Amino acid sequence: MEVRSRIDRKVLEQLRPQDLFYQILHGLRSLTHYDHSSALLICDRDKNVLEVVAEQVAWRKGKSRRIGLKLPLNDDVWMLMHNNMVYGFERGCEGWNEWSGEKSTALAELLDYNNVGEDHPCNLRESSMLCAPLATRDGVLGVLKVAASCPGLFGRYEADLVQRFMPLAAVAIQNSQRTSTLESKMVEAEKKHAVANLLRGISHDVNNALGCVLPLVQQMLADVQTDRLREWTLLQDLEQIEQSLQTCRRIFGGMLALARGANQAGVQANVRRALDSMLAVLKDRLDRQGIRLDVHLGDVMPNVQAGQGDLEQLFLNLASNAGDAMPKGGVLSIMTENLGDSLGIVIRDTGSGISPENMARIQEPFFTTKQNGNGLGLSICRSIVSNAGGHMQIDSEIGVGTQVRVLLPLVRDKGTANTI
Amino acid sequence: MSLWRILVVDDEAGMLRSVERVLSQDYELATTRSPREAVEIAKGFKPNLAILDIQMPDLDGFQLMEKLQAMDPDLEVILMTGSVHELDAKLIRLSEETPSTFFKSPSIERSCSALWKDVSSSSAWIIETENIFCG
Repeated sequence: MEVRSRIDRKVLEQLRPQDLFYQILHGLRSLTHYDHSSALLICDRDKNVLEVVAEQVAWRKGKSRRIGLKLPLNDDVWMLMHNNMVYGFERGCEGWNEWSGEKSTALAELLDYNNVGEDHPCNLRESSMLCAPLATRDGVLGVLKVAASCPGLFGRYEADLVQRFMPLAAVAIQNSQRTSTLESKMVEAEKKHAVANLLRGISHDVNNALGCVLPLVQQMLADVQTDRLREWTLLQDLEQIEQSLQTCRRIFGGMLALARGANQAGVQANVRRALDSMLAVLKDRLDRQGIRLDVHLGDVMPNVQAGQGDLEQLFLNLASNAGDAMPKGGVLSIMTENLGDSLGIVIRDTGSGISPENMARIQEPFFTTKQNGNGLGLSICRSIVSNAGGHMQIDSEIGVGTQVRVLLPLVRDKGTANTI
Repeated sequence: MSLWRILVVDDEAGMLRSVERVLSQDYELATTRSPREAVEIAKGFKPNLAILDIQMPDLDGFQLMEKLQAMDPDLEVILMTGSVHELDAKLIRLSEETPSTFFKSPSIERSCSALWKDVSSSSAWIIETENIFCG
């Protein structure tokens, strides 16, 4: 018994919350033999909604279309959810009836989101429903719903079974909430880290570029004062100063573009602009590292489905990684390819490469081979790419280099695509 | 006493130009942006001081210093670095192995004139470029 509980605990710790949701729904199915569906809904108290986070439909495999559905919470339902009990409902001629006759049908009406109307074949309609609010000491987390199309399928026995699953479901929801808070904190931390890194690099670049302006101006002044001004020297000094100031202007221009991108919450992003701002910021550092740029961008680059700021962070992370892999210089190639419904962006370096052992681990958060790295950069890249509905593929060979290929789906509406 | 002959190597044109302009009135200079070329120049120019940037592609300041000192063991060296915060293992090793003087941020002029006065004090100096031209 003790062993069993230890295994249970282990399973709870190891499973991803989403997997655990489905384990619970699966378990409920084999116990209650429901012939319609079961679902887990989570409360969002700020927005006052119940969200479907997992649903298993008896006759369908794969992901339910209801995932992500948000149901508005009203005061009646909110009151009902504070009771630590399982409600049983049956559909009558005039709507839902609670077994015990209590006035709790508001809950059933809210959860009847699959209602297909009376005309449909009866096996698609929910006739019997069990609802178990998941109340814990921390408050109401959500509700577990089990539905049958066969009238009268559920009784006291099934209600008891569901009651026994409630603690497990509560743990799963709590875990998922903790994980997502932790994840968003991680993303925030990484963003701050990236900004700090970027600022350090840029201060260095700007300092380097500006570093020569002051002494040259001082020398020019001294030359004028001592009447030693020579036209040729003056010309060379001025040319150097102009070049340094142009470098600073380019870097700050890139920074401004990045800052603008970060403030754009939009759902489509311009790849060329993102690549340009990234290059404006990094070019000087790459130059100094002896890294040659080889950039081939397509003539037509439609917008992709991502936030502009996200896309810029993605390219910055990938290009900085490539730069870090080439401390002794090399070639950084950037290419884009238009694949019809998606855009491919290839970032390739001729650096140290990733060993097969590390290759398996680079996906893990917190894995890093860099002295000052926190191992989140690539995780962030992955999440940006997957949020955009895209793919990222990394190929690497020790001593030869690394290639990252990102595929991003294009914005579907042809009208918004911009041709450059 | 003859004028000091200084070889300045920095891959950044701006920094190279500034060092050249500041020092050319008092010293005899040869400058280049390429560390490989620096080795060739040193053969004919025979500098007694080399001012080398640490971070350069191809051949870094440490490697270049080794090559130059192999040709002339008496060569004085000032290493310039953009940032001492990026102290790497080589820098630490160097400061432990050689009786080098570590200047947090002296100006290049003061470094040169200090060396000029007291050549025996060190064989390699490291200076930060951040305040290199400030008094």
